[in-house]
Amino acid sequence: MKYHLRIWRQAGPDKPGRFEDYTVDNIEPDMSFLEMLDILNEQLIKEGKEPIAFDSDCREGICGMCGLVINGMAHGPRRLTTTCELRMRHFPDGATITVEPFRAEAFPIIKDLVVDRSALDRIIAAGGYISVNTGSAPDANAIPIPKHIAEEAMDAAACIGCGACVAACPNASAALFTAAKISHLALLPQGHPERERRVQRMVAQMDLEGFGNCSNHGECEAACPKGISILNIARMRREFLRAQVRGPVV
Amino acid sequence: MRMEKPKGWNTTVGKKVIMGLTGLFLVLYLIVHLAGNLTVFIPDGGRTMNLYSHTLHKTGPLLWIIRILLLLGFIYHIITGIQVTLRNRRARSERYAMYASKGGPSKMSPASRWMIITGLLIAVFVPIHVNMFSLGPYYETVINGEPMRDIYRLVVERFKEPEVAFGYAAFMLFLCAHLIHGIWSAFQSLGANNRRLMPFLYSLGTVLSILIAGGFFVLPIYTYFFIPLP
Ligand code: HEM
Ligand code: SF4
Ligand code: FES
Repeated sequence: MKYHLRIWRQAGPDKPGRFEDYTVDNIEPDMSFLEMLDILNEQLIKEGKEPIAFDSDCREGICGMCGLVINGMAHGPRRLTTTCELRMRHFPDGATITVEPFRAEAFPIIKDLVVDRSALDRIIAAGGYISVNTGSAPDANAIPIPKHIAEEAMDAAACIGCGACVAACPNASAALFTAAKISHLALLPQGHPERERRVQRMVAQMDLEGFGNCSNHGECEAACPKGISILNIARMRREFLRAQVRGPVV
Repeated sequence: MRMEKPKGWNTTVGKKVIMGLTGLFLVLYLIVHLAGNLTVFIPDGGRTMNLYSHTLHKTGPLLWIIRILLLLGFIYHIITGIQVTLRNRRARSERYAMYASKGGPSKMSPASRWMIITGLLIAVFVPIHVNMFSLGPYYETVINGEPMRDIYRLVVERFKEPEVAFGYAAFMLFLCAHLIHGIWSAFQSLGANNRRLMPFLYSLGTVLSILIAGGFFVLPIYTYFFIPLP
């Protein structure tokens, strides 16, 4: 199969960027989107041109490293799919595909399609942890947790930190990511002692990084490869209100 | 974009709580206001409407407290709405060349995207509206031997002017759009949402928006066509 690509090229963080057109041929339908870009890059290298920089690591949808905006959609047109899991059979032969980086003030472009998502790490560092030494793994069921609560916490913990929620949000808000991280701890007894401090610090850090407000559009949930629900954002707001009423103001 | 470390109500989460609280307060007022206005439909030459309005004004200080709270809530909602929107613009200075929704669970719609536009149009409408009616000409009538303001006559008189009746109705479409996203969104902003509530709140938002804006929409049009000048 053959594709025409319009890809964002940018030499560095403060350099001007622009779209460039490329054509790739002999693409197998079962190739992933990133494998297609690998083939394009080999072609560019053979032509003596600079290959296109993009991020990836596991290439099996678990690490959260990959992430492109494909035809205006973070991780491309398929729901519940990371860019690395997206297959070329989902694009008709001969199609023109537009590829852009995740765009947000808080995600500065490093090069071409690679953006710096360390803002998300700093949100975690602000409070997305439990500050006790847990030692070795405790016995299963040492702390009884109802099944539905465990499931809910597990669903929130499925977030791989890819940042597609920010990329898809019209406001570049990181509410879904932050809410997922706050939720999976707030739901479990181990997370309770520090819950007030945690939500206040993580929200403050999220704001400091320059992410937008959440307008409840719900585009984040639609783009999230792990299907994290915006109901976690409602939970984050409950945690926030609870902290306002009784918690330490940090 | 470096910013000062925000706290409490000044955070993005805090500001949306303010939007939700002030927004729901305004919605509550709209419901009461509409209930009062619907008395126009009672074919008694404005007796019920004037008596209702008179009774309201007799509450004196209470009415003023409500008016002041409304004004403060309205202004707070507008200022926060503008702040929120400006921050959202700044959060992505370089726009996407192509932007599309994946649909699915997304609640994004023109209504949700144009909150600032429909909001600002309401902000233009409200002063004109207050100036036309509350601050408008003072007609007098006597009901049950008591002299009182004939607000009914003023309302019917104004709505007999086509530009007023249809202009008013047009603005109600913007109100409808604002509320279609606003009502359910306010609950979500206040954290008052969960798996079971979600479908209910979303439907409630849509139904209430259509009932509220629809009521205010039908009123001037019905008056224009069917209510005789007193
Ligand atoms: C009758 C008057 C009004 C009512 C009943 C109303 C109601 C609401 C409600 C219920 C919300 C949802 C709040 C939330 O998502 O938490 C909202 C949001 C909003 N309102 Fe209003 N509103 C009114 C007037 C205005 C005006 C005059 C403005 C002018 C700036 C405005 C601007 C906004 C904006 C920008 C939002 C969305 C904020 C966001 O992005 O999340 N509203 N409104
Ligand atoms: S919430 Fe979903 S879209 Fe956002 S970072 Fe986590 S996995 Fe990615
Ligand atoms: S490369 Fe790891 S999720 Fe895509």
